[in-house]
Amino acid sequence: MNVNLQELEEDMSKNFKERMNFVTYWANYVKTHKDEEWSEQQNTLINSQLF
Amino acid sequence: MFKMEYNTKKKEIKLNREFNQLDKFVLDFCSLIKEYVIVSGYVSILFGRSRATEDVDMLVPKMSKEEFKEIWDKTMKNGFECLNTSKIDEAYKSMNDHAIRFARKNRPLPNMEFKLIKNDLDKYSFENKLLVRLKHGELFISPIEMQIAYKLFLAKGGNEKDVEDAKHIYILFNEKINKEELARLVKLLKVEKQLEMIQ
Repeated sequence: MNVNLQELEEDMSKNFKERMNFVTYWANYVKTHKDEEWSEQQNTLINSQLF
Repeated sequence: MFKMEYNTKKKEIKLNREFNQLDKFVLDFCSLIKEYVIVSGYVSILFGRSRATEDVDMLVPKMSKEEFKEIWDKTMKNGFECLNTSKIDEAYKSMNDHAIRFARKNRPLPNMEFKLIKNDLDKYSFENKLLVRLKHGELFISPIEMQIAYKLFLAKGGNEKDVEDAKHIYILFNEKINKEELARLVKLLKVEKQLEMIQ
């Protein structure tokens, strides 16, 4: 099996940047919407993961 | 536009979020403890991070065995159990060495990591804690500036989740953060480069 580590690391770095962009997007959403609005969406995720 | 009400002078935040089961677990447990501060991941989640967590970190001051017994009895009566041991003496001894975990009986997830305040950072979080008023209760959390700086410190270990938590809180509270205090804590923890990543 051939593994190109450099390529994998570049992918990881791109993924991280993309995730950070989403963190920014979501944090701004939370900041500009009513608590009830963002928390209802977040609750779907939390309740489905833990309960 | 900032929807949450954060009164920096009173050290209070009012949050009208809808409740999830994790919030209920945390509030139920916190209502049994007089002196504590919630730190780390759950604080980011409380303020909307798009993730869950299996454990919540609670710091408590050192206490006598009698004081611990009072907490132990209350938690047992209210449907919690200690995951490390069912013996109070063992639990009390263990606390000096590591966190002990409490969960609802027969439901190990989520759980509360119950830790003694051990160093100056812990002490800072406890002494400067913020009160968060929610629709169905209240809880104490670590100050926002420490929350960011400490998450950046944890991120040095390579966990992306910690950088993301720090960034979320930083964006959310950007206008309300005490920038001088944040800079002081960032310098103390030597995470200047990590701070640049989230700015």
